[in-house]
Amino acid sequence: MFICQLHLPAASPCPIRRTTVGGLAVVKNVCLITFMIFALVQDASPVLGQTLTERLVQEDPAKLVQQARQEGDIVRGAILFHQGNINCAKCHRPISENDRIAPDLSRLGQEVTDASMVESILEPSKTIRKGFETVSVLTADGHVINGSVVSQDDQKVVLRSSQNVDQLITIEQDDIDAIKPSTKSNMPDGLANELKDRQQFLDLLRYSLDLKQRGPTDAASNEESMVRRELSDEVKGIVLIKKLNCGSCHDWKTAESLPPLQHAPDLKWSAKWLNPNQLAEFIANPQQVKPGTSMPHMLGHLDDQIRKDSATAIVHFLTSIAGNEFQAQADREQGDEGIPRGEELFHSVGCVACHSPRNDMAIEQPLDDSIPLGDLANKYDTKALAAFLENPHVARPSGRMPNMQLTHPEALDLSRYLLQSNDSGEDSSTSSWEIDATLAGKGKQLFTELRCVNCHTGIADTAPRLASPSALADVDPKRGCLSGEPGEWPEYRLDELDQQHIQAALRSLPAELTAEQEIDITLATFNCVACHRRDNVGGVSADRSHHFQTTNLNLGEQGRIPPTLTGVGAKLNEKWMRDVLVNHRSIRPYMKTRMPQYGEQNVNRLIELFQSNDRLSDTEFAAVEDLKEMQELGLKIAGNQGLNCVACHTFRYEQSDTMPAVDLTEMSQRLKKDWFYQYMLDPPRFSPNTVMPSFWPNGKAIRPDIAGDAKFQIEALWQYLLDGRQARTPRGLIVEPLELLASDEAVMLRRSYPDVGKRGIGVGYPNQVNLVFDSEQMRLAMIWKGKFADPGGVWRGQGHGTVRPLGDSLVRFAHGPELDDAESPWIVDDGRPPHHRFKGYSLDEKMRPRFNYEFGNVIINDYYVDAIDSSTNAPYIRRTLTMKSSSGESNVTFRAATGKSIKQSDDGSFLVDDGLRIRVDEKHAGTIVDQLNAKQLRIPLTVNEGVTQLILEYRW
Amino acid sequence: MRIPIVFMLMLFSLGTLRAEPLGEYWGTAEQEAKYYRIVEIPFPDEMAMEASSFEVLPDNRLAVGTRRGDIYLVTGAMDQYPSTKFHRYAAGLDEIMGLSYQDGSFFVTQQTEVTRITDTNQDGRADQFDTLSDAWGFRNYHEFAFGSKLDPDGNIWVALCLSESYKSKVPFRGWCVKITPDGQTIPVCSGIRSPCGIGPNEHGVMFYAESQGPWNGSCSLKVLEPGGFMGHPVSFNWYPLAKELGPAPVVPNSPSRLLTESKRVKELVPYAVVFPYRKMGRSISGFMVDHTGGKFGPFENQIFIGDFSLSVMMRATTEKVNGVWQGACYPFREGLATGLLACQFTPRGDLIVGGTNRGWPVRGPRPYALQRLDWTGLVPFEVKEINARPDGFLVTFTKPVDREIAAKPESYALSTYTHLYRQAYGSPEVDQTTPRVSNATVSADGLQVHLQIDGLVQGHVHDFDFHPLRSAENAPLVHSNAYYTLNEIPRSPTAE
Repeated sequence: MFICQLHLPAASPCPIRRTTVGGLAVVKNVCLITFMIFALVQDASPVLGQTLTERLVQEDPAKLVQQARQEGDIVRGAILFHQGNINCAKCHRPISENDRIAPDLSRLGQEVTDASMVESILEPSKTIRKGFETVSVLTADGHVINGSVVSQDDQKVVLRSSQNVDQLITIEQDDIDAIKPSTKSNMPDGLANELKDRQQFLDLLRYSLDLKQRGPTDAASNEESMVRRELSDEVKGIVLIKKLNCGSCHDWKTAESLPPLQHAPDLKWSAKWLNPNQLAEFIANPQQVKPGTSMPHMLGHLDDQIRKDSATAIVHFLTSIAGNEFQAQADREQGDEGIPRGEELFHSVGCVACHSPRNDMAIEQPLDDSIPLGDLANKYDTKALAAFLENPHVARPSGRMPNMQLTHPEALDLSRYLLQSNDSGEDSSTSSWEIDATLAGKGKQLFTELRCVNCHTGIADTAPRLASPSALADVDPKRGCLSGEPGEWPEYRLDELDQQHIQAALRSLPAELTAEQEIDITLATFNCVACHRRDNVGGVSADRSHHFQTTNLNLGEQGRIPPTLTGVGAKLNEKWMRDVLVNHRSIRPYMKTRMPQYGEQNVNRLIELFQSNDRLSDTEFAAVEDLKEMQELGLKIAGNQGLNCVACHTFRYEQSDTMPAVDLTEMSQRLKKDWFYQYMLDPPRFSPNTVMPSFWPNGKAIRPDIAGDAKFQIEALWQYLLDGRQARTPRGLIVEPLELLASDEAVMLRRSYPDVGKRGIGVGYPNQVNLVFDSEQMRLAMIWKGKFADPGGVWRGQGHGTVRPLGDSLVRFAHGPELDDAESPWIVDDGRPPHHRFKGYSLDEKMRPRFNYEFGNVIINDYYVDAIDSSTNAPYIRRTLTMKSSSGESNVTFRAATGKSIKQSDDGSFLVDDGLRIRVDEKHAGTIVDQLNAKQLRIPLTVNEGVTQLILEYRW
Repeated sequence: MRIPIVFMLMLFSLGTLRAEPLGEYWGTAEQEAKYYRIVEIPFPDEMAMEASSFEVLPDNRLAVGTRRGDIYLVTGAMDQYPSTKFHRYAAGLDEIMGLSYQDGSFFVTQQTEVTRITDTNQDGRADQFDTLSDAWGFRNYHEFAFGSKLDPDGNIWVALCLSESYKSKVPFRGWCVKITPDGQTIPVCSGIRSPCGIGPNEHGVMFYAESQGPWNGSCSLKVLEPGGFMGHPVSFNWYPLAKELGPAPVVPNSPSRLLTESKRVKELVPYAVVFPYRKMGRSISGFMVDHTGGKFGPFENQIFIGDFSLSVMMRATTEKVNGVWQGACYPFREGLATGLLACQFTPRGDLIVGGTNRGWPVRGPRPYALQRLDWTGLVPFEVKEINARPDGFLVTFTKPVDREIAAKPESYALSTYTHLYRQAYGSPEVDQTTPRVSNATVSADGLQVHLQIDGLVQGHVHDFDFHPLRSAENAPLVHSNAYYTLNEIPRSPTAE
């Protein structure tokens, strides 16, 4: 909690989730944005009742500028400029003129004075820059729409909404009653109130002034603003030819190297798990049962009844090999458990990147380019669909349906969700299935005759293929499969566009594909382009965008939109790329969409292509002369004395307090050095959505004072990051505080405590008193009030620190055993007394320990209770020592306290060092013994076979 | 082995400034996954599950002891698809590095002591903590204590790390002590450096896992021979507290070789299975013998041992030759999620592993994890075991080999080396030799190959490269390396 106080006042209403795990309270910033706003409101509303903006407006802009130049932290300013809640960079960024939402600060020119920058931030509507004026449009139906004019002509006006700058509103001229200039800027008022304090304003101003002064960067064009490229018709045709598996009948060597290497679903799996009645219907009429399927109609030339009988026979054959375990009935008996979780998964992990989303009633809401799912409820039972979702490549080795890395319970929830909507009741197709041997025999024959074997391999001992049709290059698109006419060929019933694409491909079938073509084809085949963009192809489409979600809004679009694949082979080391594509590795915990897995054999070639094809321009590296010095510098740069990487980036699993940007200690494992160099110089060039500022715009360090030029600084950072997981921890890393607290039961921790040694046993009591018992010296070592302890020193790192008492009013007791021989006590040091033995403890109903130990023949039970004083209501410790000895010890003494001063009060209690009051029970008498420079409170005892009880009360 | 040479070059060119690379990947994870699946055992997000010891209760619940000092009882961890419930049985203990359960009580080794823990009022939570022994000193940095499970006589063997991992400042640091059921503490042997696992080998003899460091050229499994000396002489100062063991041994010379010094220092026990550094882990940790009766695949009665730094599981086999323990280690499964500290076979025949990456560099990507290795039922083509023979080695495979390839001596590459036995930290591989396989005889069933070798070197690790071999089905080995520590060359044709 103490660290948190840097950010928010203790009394803040900030929504902090306190998870208590058996007494351990972990304080987490759950919703940082809300949190910051609350904090801001608090900080920005001091006694005067003024906001930060109101206060700043009253200051002299010239002085603010001067102060920003002197005291503003440019690095913190850069981070603020890009960070979620303010996000100046969202609008003020160097992109093409037309898409620009707000002026590019680097192109303001010298006519804009520094002082007017202050004004523009604090009062954006006071002066609106030319080209960014706003208008109010009154529509014929009486609505008022505010925004800036993006374009207009005789027909319509396009406005960028003032409400939401991402939104473009098109209004027909006919619908417009009036347009008048507006005095409101699109930039919101009071943005500065999102800042924590005046210092942050100075930081932000400092960075903004620097942007203006520096002038435009020569950044290459930003990918996001480029026009999306369409794949050529031929490439689309090749993708289709692969998808429809034309190559299984027609020869085309080039296609054989393209993934997927295996094609049609494994029918043994289908026969075992799917509804056999539905399967038969599907075979009889694939396009009708599942519109959009790539399974061709194989029986189109047969009449209805024969077709149905043939399909049924084939299913008898398949189930005779594989068995069938379809159980629709079992599903109907299940409740709705897990369905909401399934819904959430379906719309967040990435299913709807390819499939259509569903509404609240789980009804599909069709979108363009969706992969159809068909009538799932009639096809699968819950178990089968879950098995499929958990490991789709067993059933469909082609990898087109990827493995979404669902756990078994997740797959079950998703399965229940997908199957609940259209529970088709007592449909005839769910009637039970008895395998008929005769029909199975007939089915086997049909399976070969109808060329099912050509695609669905591995089913029974297949007869040789029928006479091979023509090579793909010689196919006449007007006849056979593509003609749309029924016949003894697979009938694909393609739409016109698909027909065109295939014909285009057939016209110019290349003997060899270029690497870029191969990449395009592969990315289209696996629909990577539904999430990723590469070389202006693909990317998240507008109508699916809102299903891409993040756990941390501070990362902006980067937090939810999968990264670009442009140049990815020049970015990622091969090993890492393989880990991501094959070994389930992921590095972006903030992205709810998961990186699916497509199967090793399907992506091997893509990894090769990326790695061999993607190249960066030559990079000149700084020379490393003194490695140690470089690493030291890199460490400094990463910390808050430098460029403060840890303000946003996770460091060795330890998240920053703003956002969980990619872990710094994995950078050198993932990235190629030249990419790192070039990225550092201009992050948005490689990652259009990034909130990362450039700390070396135009190749010039914004912190030249740190040491060296841009290349030198980047090299230093790289050398430092090369240590990976073993890199030293930079300064400024915020460590989540740990607190161990008593609940309505006591909490205990056996560890090292300050000045106690390694055998300390700390106990925090419900009534807010705490103690440490030293089980090496058999003594009460310290007591304090309030919160129990911060175990960070022993629960972090190697764990060789100490547990830090929290709370207050800490009283320490002297070293050495309390119970000892009155005549010849052991010489007190911090060592282990020779005649004392710790025996353990038992816990009472409130988990409060009764310590057991021995001194010679004396057996001691030492019990502490957190009592409440009836007159003052203050908590105190009541200690009961129960002793006995078989031999009878008459010369034992109990040393209750040592202090500079010990005084006995009128009520008989002893006051130690004017702070701690010890009361001894009536049966025993304490004596104050003078020692060199100190006094001791001793209680002489006689311990025999009977029970001796000594009761002490500690108030302080 | 080309990889280590690359490492050496890197190290030399950068001097000693650069932190050492963690170690190469075996690159076998994708193959391994076909035979042994990694299953996540879920736990609540807010729970810091730093598992450091395991036990299975009679009711099939999994007990987990943690570095943070909790004992959790877990329901569902052994289900095919683990959906778990965690119940905290005890809390507040100090780094639980040993956990066993008998007759209603847990027997726990924590840093301070061995404790018997009981739930006397049957409310599901421990309420009685009896200290069986805290006879060892515990005052300094890095004084970890690793305890075995109860041995057949009810004893717990505790391996005590040195003070600050270099010294022995308080009693019995660097010793193994045995705690009897009635709380007696019996010193067993001296010379331990930094243990990270302790338990019986496949023959029921107590072993421990030692880490690379002073007097330990590489990590190794060693036998805790009563009266023996485990190699690090700094703990000799406590022999006066262990009168029954006699005077302290002769101090070994440095630098030397283990074989040389074991002739001078009669108590010195040769390191039974050396795990060559980085090739086979760099901080070997908790281990357990597969007594699942074949439920975990073809490696029944072998030792499974984790590694903290590299997040891998390995196998080891031991045999007693001429009265001395020795054996081999084999790669098994990489790609686990965190620094492994402990492992536990379940009654179902799965292997639960867990740990934390706290404190030292770890390859695994997560701060802590509980995972389970499930055998998929497919038998991998692997080197199952290597045994010493007077004239070479008998190599046993999990599946019949391609006879033609296996019968060719040139299908086998073999090198040997040892480590410096010295006071300084660790050791490079030294005294390399390249013996020649003169003859390879394939058994009738194709499962064994008897390799006759010119140039066996006593005291050396024999580093095998089997990669040309194929199974009868023409599959390559999942792992083609294995490492046999040849302390003794058998005198008679079969091992004792």
